[in-house]
Amino acid sequence: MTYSEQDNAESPAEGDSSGFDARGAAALLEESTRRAQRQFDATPPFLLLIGAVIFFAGYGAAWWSVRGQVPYVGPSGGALAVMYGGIIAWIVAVVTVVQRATSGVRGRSSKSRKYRGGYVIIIIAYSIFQGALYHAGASHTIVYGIFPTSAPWLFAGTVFVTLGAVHEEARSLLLGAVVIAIGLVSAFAGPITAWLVSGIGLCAVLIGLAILQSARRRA
Amino acid sequence: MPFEEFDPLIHVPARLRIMATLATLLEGDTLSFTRLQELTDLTPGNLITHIRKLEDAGYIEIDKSGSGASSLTTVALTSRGRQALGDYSTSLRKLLDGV
Repeated sequence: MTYSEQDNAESPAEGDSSGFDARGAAALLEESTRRAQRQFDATPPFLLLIGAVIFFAGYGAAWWSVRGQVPYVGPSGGALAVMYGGIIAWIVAVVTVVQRATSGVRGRSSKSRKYRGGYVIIIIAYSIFQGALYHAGASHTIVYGIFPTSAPWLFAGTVFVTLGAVHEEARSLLLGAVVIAIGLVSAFAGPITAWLVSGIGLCAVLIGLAILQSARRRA
Repeated sequence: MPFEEFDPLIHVPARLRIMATLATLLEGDTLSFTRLQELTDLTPGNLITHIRKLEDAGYIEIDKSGSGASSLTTVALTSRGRQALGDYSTSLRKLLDGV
């Protein structure tokens, strides 16, 4: 840390309480708190809303490409490119925002956010398991329909429920239960409708989280 | 409530901004000097002057690690500092509610 000597003096405006009334102090306290909360926020509402649009568009594209398929063969390459391309771009944006939010922060808050990168393990495990299903001779309906629209949400929901139980966080527990419900509804919806259910469900969850986050910021 | 009853160490714009910023972190978390400077819009000289006063009062802890270009200075709010900011905030609310 270096700083110039001429800086090493309190400026009258910043270091003096004369003329600093209670109303001004309350406003400054609130403004500073809100600003810091926004800067440290790793999941800002705009990022959640972008995610909502991406999941809706990606899964919508997959659903559009499988509509009326008899027999079911799965989404087209173009639809999968739109879906996975969007999701990867969103993950990159999330990682960038998390790094920015935790920059300079050390301790529990930054550690817990950084360890969320462990979700990548879930994505890898899910992909390998999908390959195993294909290798075992499971039908396209399962490998390219039911599994990709339900298994990720069952995995992710289980993680949220576990985290909620461990940290006694009702919000995480509820989020996990909703995500698991989306996975189960998708599984029962059949390989074609499952893509639409997943897209709408995840879009709704992310919009709900964005609204909650905005409300928390205003509180 | 007269102004004299406000904690004079906190009732200063720069120090109030520093305390409020550090209070948004979880208890025990630290913030680098550079990030704190960015969030409070203070010059390095002003910031170091104010955080030293807060450190003398036991409201914050300053930790320096490493040396030279790789040195890192981190700042954290102490339990005492968190309590003092809470008391200050309560005093402010009482005064404003009474107006």
